[in-house]
Amino acid sequence: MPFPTLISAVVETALNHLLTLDRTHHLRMQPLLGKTIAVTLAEYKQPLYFHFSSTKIDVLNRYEGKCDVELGLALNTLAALKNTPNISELIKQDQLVIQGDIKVLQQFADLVTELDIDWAELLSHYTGDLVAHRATLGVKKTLSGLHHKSLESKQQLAEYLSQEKRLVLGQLEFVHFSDQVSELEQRTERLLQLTNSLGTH
Amino acid sequence: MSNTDNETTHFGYEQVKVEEKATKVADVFHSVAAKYDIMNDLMSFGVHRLWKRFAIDCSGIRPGQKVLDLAGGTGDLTAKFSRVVGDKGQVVLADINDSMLKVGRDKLRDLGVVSNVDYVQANAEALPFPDNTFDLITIAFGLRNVTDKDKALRSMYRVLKPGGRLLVLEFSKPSNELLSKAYDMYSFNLLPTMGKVIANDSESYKYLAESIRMHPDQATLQGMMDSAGFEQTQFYNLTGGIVALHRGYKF
Repeated sequence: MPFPTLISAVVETALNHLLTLDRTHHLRMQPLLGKTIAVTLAEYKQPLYFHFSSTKIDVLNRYEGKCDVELGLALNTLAALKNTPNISELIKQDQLVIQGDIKVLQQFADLVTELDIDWAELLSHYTGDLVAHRATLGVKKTLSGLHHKSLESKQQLAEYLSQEKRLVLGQLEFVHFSDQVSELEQRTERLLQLTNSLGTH
Repeated sequence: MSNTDNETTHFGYEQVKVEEKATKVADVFHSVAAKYDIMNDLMSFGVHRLWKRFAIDCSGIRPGQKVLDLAGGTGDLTAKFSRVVGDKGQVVLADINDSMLKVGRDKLRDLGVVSNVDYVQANAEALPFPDNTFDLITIAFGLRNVTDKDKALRSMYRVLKPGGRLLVLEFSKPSNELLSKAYDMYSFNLLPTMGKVIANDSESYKYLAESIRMHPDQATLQGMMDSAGFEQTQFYNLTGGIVALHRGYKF
């Protein structure tokens, strides 16, 4: 069995399953109906064709019709794509190749990145409302707790290095030091001018 | 015509009169229609989905085209074709067996596939369509049940448009000796038992296993397609030749 067939089957199943978790996906897929997008990953070479219809997204390995837009990129470029101002830079560096209607691509990206999935609702089918609410609240709290902790420990590390070990400078100390350096520079300059003028007399 | 009473053909490993085969095959499929999908998944461990996907990748299907899904059974291929050809295209799901056609129609309606699919009860040997009608004809796991395969292939050639292609997805001969042995053991011992337990019908599944063995191998089928008029015929072995996809063009 050809390997690409398995890949497209897995991508199609996963993508469609993910979309059904978002109840509004039908509405957001509307502008993409009947469109076909070709995506080629540099690591995989074989293009995948995404065809949009009212009921689902079909993923094909070969497509002989016309694509609305063709996209070529490497997996690590995907991460860089999150910072939108980078796009033109990436195109210039040939890390991103786009041919065709860029609007269609934008709509596809929106569809995937703006998924609105109500995890509590999904979980409640298995556990009941109360447990689902508690669990999702718990996960949210833990996540924000972790975020807070990581900020806190970063600050602690910075204080430890700058104040206790004196290995690095604080920002103010650095500014003060820079000021001292430039003052010294000016004084040297003045002294130089003075010696020069003394020498000419 | 005078001696048709004496002509026989194979029905699995049995010999039956030519005019009886269609009825006997029909009985098998009337019997398995309701559990067809679940049995396919169980018997092939879900791999039949990949075989069908590969066929679709080889089909060259485009929006606006006309497709005939022959012996389309429960509509697996039709569903995907219908989405790709879109509103301007058309898919005809044809099956000789009305039980299979009904199951297919119900399933496709449940999937939301309605607007561009037509359902036709038709015999592959005498297709009820004008010449040069379709861009693509597929027959997946159906050809081996057809009584006169050469006649069926000629009939498909007639209704295919010039430039169109035919895809035949069918069980074939495994290329590896060891795989062949394991496959034989599986299909003659395990398969009828599974049929008995799940669909309470071991006879039908015994027929399915036998009919696979009586079906022409890869090269023979390619030769039959050539003599029906198809050009650039070729085949791909899938899962070690347990299944083969044959492709031919009409120019």
